Amino acid sequence: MNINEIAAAKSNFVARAVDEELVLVPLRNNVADMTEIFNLNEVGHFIWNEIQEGATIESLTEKIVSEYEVESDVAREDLEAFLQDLSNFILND
Amino acid sequence: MKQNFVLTVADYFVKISSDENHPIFFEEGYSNFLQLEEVEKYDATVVCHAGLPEESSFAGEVIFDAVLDKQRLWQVVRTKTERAFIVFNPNKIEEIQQVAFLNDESTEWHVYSNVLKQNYDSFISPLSYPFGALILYYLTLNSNAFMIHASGVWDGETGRIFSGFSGIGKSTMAKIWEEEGAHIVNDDRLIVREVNGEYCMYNTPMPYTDLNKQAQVSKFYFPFHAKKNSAEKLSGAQGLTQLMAFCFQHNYDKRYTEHLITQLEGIIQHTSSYKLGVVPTPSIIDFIRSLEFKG
Repeated sequence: MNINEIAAAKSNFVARAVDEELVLVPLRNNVADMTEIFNLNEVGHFIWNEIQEGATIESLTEKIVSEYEVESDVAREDLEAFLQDLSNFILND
Repeated sequence: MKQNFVLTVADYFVKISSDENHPIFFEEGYSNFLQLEEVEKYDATVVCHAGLPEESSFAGEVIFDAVLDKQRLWQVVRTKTERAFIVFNPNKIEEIQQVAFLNDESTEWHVYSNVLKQNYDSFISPLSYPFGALILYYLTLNSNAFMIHASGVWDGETGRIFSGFSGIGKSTMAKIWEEEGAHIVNDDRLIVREVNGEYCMYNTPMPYTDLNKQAQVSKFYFPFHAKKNSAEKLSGAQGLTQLMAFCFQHNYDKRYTEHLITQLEGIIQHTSSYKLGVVPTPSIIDFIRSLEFKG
């Protein structure tokens, strides 16, 4: 997965925070796709905000560990799975 | 001959006028939503014309294509100057029923429809299904409102909305509540509006005659068939996502998507929403009331 690619694709989503969570509505050819709405929990919301050009798995893991009480290995594993989901969606676009 | 009508739906006022020599015919369901008395301010105007315009006037890029079960219902086309809506006859595939033009502010419609004849009378029917609902949908985009596939009931104390795909039991739920003395606002389509911090649901003209109704709303349910009654309270984001799936939406413009999310975000903070496993018997009423009592 390529974090820069995900960062570049962020503008193709309408994102809205609801309490701690985040709703992401993907736009395909500028048309919202209601069949694949993402619903991110607090941690997913945090990661989404931190994804930007130049970010790496290591830098994101570090930020998660400093924000939440979680072991580095667990954080990295969950982060990779999450980024893979996002990446799959974006690449299928 | 000059003809003027005022369509009043969900506390919106739409001026419908025509200078044509053919009288305007409204489908049966509009009877309790029309008045002749003018009002000071209109949310939108609809000028009705007899006959379809030249094809070149509505040529352009198709930016939205509404297709249901392989049947094209309408298209939105970006012409050189505005948006054109090409609406097809639901009973005769590919026959154009109306062509309408809408300004960028979504407030001024010009609707062209064929002259229809019955015996020796000729008339135009500019709001024939499904076009009337499109006018209402575009009204919601200019206010704190949204349109949703749902049934809504009011039991004298609480307004509840049951939303979901066709066949999920929206009408059945409404009927069960009605048999227990509640009022059905509508069992298929609602407009929900925020007015002074309160949220109200309204019915819209349907293919049958009904009164013009409204009620406050405070609960949303997303029913599904189940072997026993069950419920799961949804978080704000979950409720928003569920609601969004059942709202009317022409998402060719990112602003419309953002508008809808903003409306849903607002209402979700003032209401509760649940996924609801339903056995379609009167027992569901006590189940729901007990659920709400427990919070």
